[in-house]
Amino acid sequence: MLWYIGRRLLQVIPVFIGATLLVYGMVFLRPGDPVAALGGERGLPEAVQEAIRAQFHLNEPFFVQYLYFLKGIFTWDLGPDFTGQPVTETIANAFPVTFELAVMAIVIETVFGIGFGLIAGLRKGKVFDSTVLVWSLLLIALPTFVLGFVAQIFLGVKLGWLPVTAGRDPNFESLLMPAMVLAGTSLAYILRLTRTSVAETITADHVRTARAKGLSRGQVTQRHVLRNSLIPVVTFIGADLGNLMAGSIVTEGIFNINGVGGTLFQSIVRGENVTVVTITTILVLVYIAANLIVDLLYAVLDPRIRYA
Amino acid sequence: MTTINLTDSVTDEAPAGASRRDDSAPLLEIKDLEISFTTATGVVNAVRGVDLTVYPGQSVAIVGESGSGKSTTAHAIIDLLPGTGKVAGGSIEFDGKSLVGLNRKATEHMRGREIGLVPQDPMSNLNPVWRIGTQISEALVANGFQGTKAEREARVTELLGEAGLPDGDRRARQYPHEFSGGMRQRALIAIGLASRPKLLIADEPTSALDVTVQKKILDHLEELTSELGTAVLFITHDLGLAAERAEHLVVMYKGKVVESGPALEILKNPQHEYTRRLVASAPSLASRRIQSAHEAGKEAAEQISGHEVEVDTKAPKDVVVAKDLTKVFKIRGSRPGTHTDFTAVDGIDFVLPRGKTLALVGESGSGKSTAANMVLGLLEPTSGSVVFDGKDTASLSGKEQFQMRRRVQPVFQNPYGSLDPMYSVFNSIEEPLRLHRVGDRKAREQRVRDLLEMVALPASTMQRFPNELSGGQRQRIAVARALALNPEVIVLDEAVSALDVLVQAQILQLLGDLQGELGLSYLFITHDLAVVRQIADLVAVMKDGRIVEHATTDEVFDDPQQDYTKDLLAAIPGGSLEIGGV
Repeated sequence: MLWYIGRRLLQVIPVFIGATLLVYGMVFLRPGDPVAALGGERGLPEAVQEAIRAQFHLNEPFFVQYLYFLKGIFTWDLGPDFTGQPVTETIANAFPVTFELAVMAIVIETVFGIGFGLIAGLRKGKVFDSTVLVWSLLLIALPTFVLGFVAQIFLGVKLGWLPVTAGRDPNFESLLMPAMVLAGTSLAYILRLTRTSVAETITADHVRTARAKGLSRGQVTQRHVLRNSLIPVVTFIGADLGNLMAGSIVTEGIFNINGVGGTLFQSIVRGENVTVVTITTILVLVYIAANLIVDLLYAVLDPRIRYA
Repeated sequence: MTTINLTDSVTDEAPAGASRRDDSAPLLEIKDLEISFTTATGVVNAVRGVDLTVYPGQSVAIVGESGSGKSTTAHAIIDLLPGTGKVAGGSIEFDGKSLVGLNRKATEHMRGREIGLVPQDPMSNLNPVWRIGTQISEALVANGFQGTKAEREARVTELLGEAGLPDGDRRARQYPHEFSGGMRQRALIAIGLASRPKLLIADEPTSALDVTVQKKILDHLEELTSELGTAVLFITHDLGLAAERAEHLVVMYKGKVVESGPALEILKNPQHEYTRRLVASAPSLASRRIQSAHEAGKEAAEQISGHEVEVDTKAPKDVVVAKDLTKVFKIRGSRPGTHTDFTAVDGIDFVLPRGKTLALVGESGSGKSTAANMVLGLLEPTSGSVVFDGKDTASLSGKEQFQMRRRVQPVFQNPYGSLDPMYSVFNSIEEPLRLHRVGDRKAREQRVRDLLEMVALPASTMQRFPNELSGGQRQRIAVARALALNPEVIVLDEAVSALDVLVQAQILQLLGDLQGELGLSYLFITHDLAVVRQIADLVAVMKDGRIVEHATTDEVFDDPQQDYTKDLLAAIPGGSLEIGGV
């Protein structure tokens, strides 16, 4: 088991090098000159542009720039961006709020997705099942911005239950609506996965045996149906954790949240290469970690799976 | 066995109204039971007017083929009918109370405590994610076991020991996948008897197990239930087993009881037409080699197999010879690069003479299927060789190997798994012809028609799909597909093991006829010695990858040399009973 985790962690090294090199290469090859664009319509004087290029090592060959970047990553001193704010600070500002949002969304989609999915699976073909299926289809079909605006109008403006936007330094309450909107689509997928899995498990022989033992309906569901049905669901939730950490440009935009998605978007537009590559790299690492956790969870859920 | 012995009972608090009755009152009385399933095409009556009585401590067996309604009847008793099934009429009385229309609470109270179930397939009936001990102890808790955790654990250990799993402490901490099929069935018996029910329903409790394991488990179950005074309702398709294990038989056919009475009486003097057929086709020690058309032998084969390769008179007499055949599997170890060797087949020699049948007999894990796969060329031997028609198969080029494949064809065990559900019957049978570029489309269609006729299926079957056919029909399709390329050797890997006795008898008859007509040689892989007697000329008994006995069928059956062979023979259900005399 330890050997397995160790091997998986060792795999991070080539993935890290490959991902940074690839992303850095793509950003490097991007057409256009961010420095020339800094001055807007009129442009900056040639000498100033030259000075900025020198400051950011933009005149150096690709690999030298890449090595400067690596040095920056490992010393966690990536220097300032074009606006003079340290890159590390920009990133450190963006991640906490996105992380908070992602965790809230994960909790919402897991609790409601598995909960409704379980009930629907147990009552396959009944009214509850059909209703929930239609709603989940609607959630999948609706674009996020529609869902976001509808939530803002009803929950925020008409009913006044929740703050309409999150803004700077958001608290739990103001993040609740964005988290719900962010969780929407995944919730529908989790619900459907759980439903299918549960409906299949309840016809299994061992569930009949459990009932024949004299277990009550609740015990059978909890001990013999739910746990056996969760493996495909856990896979999905793990992959989704990565997605959520990457932030959502749309949701963050609607609710005016200064998170990873928005920061990444701005950095791409402004040509802040170092910020783009750093954020991307962190996201790659998050994906790797999420996958490892999912794989380890498999072994917890199903004792037949063992890692060596 | 007529006394109720409840002294061992841990939950001896019968619900109000169910006073203990004297022996003359039936424990279970089913009257005129009707069970129906609602399907898309209408209501199907699976059970039509079944009467059944079980007295306290008695053992009763319901015998019938699949689809006869025997399992449905059993599941109706404990209200576990699958899907849309429901009791449409009649009554089920248990210990003086009606079980039909009981509310959920009362049903859950009855299950486990009053009526236990030992289900059919030990592989799928334990939850893979919970420890064995947990699964037994939850049955105890659900049925009112009062006591501390330690007491409960001690009881679990005791129950496992009782079911024939000593070392219960350790066993209770293991997971189902760490158990063999026999051990799992023992755990399921421990669960079924955990709360000392008055009636135990044993639904084909051992049909998925090897014969020797089957015998041990049934012996044990019999001992245990008679000790506890539990009445047993066996559900089985095996007449021999039923007669050996039950005092009273109920024969079901198409949802109806066609005959019931004392077991031996039914065997000796079956009244109903169906029972007579069942008795006649039950494979047992008494049966003999199917002779039909067998003697016609090789000359006929040469005439009929027309466009096939000419049977060379100088061809070796033995079509398949295995010499010192060995297969070692490498099992990946816990660290990369490490592995342990597992010798599945350990230097076996056998000979399959042309036009004859050689049976490779053994329990699961004996290596018989691995040997078959090497003969088929699906696995490469680690050492040793398979000589086919005088040529070592290892020396063949890719093209020659392709040619060889068409002369050696397989039929596998599971007719549900070996046919592609997306292929029509025509596609399935035509595929080998197309692959080997035999004839044009028209000729191939004619060939498929002929093949279907050979296996006694109507030509209209061509357009149908496997899911529309019964198990026996599917196995006939599999045989037709194997015959498509005019092979000389057919490897039958447990080809009739999954079939009901009557269907099994039909397929064996068909195989016997085809062998006579076409001069085929069969390599017959099976765990069932009773079947061997009906089809094989030669027998090789395998154990742990080695052949322990290799002789003619008569020699093996009349004068077994090895203890292991004797054990196998003794384990055939109903072996001691005089049945099957046609």
